[in-house]
Amino acid sequence: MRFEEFAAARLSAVLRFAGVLTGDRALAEDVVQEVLIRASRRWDQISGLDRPELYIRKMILNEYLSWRRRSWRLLPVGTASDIDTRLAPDHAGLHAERDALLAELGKLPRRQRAVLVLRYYEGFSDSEIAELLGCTPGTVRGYASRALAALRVELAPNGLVTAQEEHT
Amino acid sequence: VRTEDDLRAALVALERHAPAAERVVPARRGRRPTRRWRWLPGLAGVTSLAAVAGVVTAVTVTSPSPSHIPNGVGLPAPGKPSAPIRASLTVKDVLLRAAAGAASATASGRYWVVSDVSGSLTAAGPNARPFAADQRFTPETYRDARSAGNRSWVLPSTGYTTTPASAGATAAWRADGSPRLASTTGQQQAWWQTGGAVGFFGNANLTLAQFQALPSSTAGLTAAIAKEIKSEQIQAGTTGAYQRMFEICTQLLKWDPITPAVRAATFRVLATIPGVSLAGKITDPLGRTGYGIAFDTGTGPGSTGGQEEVLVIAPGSGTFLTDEYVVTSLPAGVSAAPVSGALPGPATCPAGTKAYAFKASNWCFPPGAVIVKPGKNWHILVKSGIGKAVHLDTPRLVVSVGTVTWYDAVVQAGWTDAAPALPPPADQFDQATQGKG
Repeated sequence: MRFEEFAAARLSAVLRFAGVLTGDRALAEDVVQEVLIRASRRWDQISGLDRPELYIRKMILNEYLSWRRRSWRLLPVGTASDIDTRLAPDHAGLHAERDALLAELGKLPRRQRAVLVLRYYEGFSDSEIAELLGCTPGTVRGYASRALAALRVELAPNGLVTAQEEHT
Repeated sequence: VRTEDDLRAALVALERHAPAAERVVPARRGRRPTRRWRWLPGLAGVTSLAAVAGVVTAVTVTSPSPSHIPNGVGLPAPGKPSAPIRASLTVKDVLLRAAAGAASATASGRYWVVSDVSGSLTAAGPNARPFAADQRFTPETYRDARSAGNRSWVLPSTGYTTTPASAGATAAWRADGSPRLASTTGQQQAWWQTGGAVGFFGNANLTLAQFQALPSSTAGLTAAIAKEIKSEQIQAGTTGAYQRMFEICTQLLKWDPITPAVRAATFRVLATIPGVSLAGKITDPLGRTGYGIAFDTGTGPGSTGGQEEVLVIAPGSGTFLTDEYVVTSLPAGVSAAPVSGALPGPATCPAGTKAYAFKASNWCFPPGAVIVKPGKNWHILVKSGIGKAVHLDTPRLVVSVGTVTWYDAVVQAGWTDAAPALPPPADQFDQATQGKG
C-alpha cells in the first residue's frame, strides 16, 4: 500500500484516535501531522510491517507522551481561533456527570490517560497496551488502577467484562 | 457510582469532538468565511471551561480598563532582568537561600488553599488591526485537613478576563473602536470531593497524608522523584529526565500540600538538576519581584522558536511566585514583534504556496504537501522542513524575545484557618454524585 493510499483510507480513524487520546483537537492534529510526516519518509519500512496502522498508533502515542507541554502556545501563527477549536465537552448535549468525568480525565498524567484510552476506547488487552507503551503488563495495570481510582470508577466484579456482555 | 461503562461512554462521546479528516477544496476567491465575533477571543473557550468546571456562568462582556493591564504581562519583554545581579550569584546560591527560607516557615491551619492567576497570550482583533491579548482566570482550591474524609472545595473560577497585553496592544484595540472583550462573572457554585488523592506526584496520585509524608532529605526526595521518572520509562540522565524532574519539583512547590521541610528539600533538589540556570532578578506578571530559575525547554516541534520555563521565587521566604514560559529565540524567518504584538494574517499566499479552504477558513499550503482524494473529499498532509501551513485570514501572534507567553502566578498556597467563601448551600455540589450537600 502506498503512503497516499494508507493516508486516504485511515486518516480519519487515526485522527479520531489522536483526538480521544489527547482530548484536544488542535493538539491531535499537530501530533498526527508530525507523525505522518515522519512515517511518510520511512514508509518503505513501515508498509512492510504486519500491522502498519498499529505502528502508526504507537508513533502517535509516543509523540503524545513526549509532546512538550504547552509548546503550542508558542506557535508564531497562534491565533484567537486556536482557543475556539480547543476541545471541550459539549455541555449542551452531554450529561453533567459525563462532563465532570471528562474534565477529571483531562487532569490525569498523560501515561495514565493513554492507558485508559487504549483499554476502554480501543479495547486493547493489558499485554497489548504494554507492548505499545514499551512497559510490562503489571505497569499497565498499575497505571490503570491509579487512574481509575483518581476518577473514582468502580471496577466491574469480573474485570473487563462490560455490563452489556454480562447481560447477553 | 461511576462504572467502567461510564468511562467507555465518555470516551466515545469525546470521539464526536475528535477531528474528522476535513474537506479540502481550492478556495474561491473573494469568499472568505466571515466570523463576526472572531475578535472576541476565547468566548467559546470561556463558556466551555466554565461548563467543564460545572459552573453556571453568564457570559457577559465588559470594557476592560487599560489600567487593569498587569505590569509586565505580554509585550514589551518583561522577562529580561530588571536590575543587574551580582555576577558571583549562582542559581545554587538562590535555591539554597530559598530552601533555608522555606524550612523556617510555619505551617498551620485547617485548609490547604491554592489560588492562582493563570494567563496566556493570544492574538486578537480583526485581521486589519490585530493586537496581543492577555486572557486570565483565577481558580481556587481548598483542601480541608480536618473534616472527615478530607473534604475539598473547588471554587472553579472567580472570573475570566481578556485585556490588551501592552501599551501598543491597547492602542491597536482603541484604534479598532475599543470593542468589548470577553470576560465572565465569578462562579456561583462550589464543588466538593471527599477523601482520596488531592494531587499528583509524577504519575502517582497522593493523598494529603502521603504528600505530608514525602522524604525531606535531598537524597530521599531525589530518589522518590527518580522512582516516578523511572516508572514513566524515561531514561535517567537524559534531558527528558531532567525536564521531568524540573516539572515534578515545580508542581510540588506550586500546588502541593507538603511540609516546610519537604519544600526546602524540593528547592535543594532543583539546585542539583543539570540545565537549571539563573534568569536574574525579574518581575512576574503580577508585578512582584523575585529571582528567575530557568530551564530551557527547547524548541517546540514545527516552526516554533525557543522557550524556557522560568520559576519566579522569593528566596528570602522560599515563596513560589510564578511559573512562566518565556520566549528565548524567534523561529526562523520571524523578525521582531510589532508594537501591538500581533501581525495581520497574510492577504495573499506567499509565493509558491496555494490557497485552500480548510477547516472553514483559508490556508496556504506549501509545495510538497501530500494531497489525497480518496472519494469526494480531499485530504492534505503538510510535509515538515517546508514549514507549517499558513492561515490566511487570522492575525498572527508575533512575540519578541523575553515575552511571557503563559504564566501561572500563585497568589496564595499554604495553610490557613480562613474557610472558603462558599455560595449558599443550594449552590454547593458533590463532585462525585452531582448531588447537593
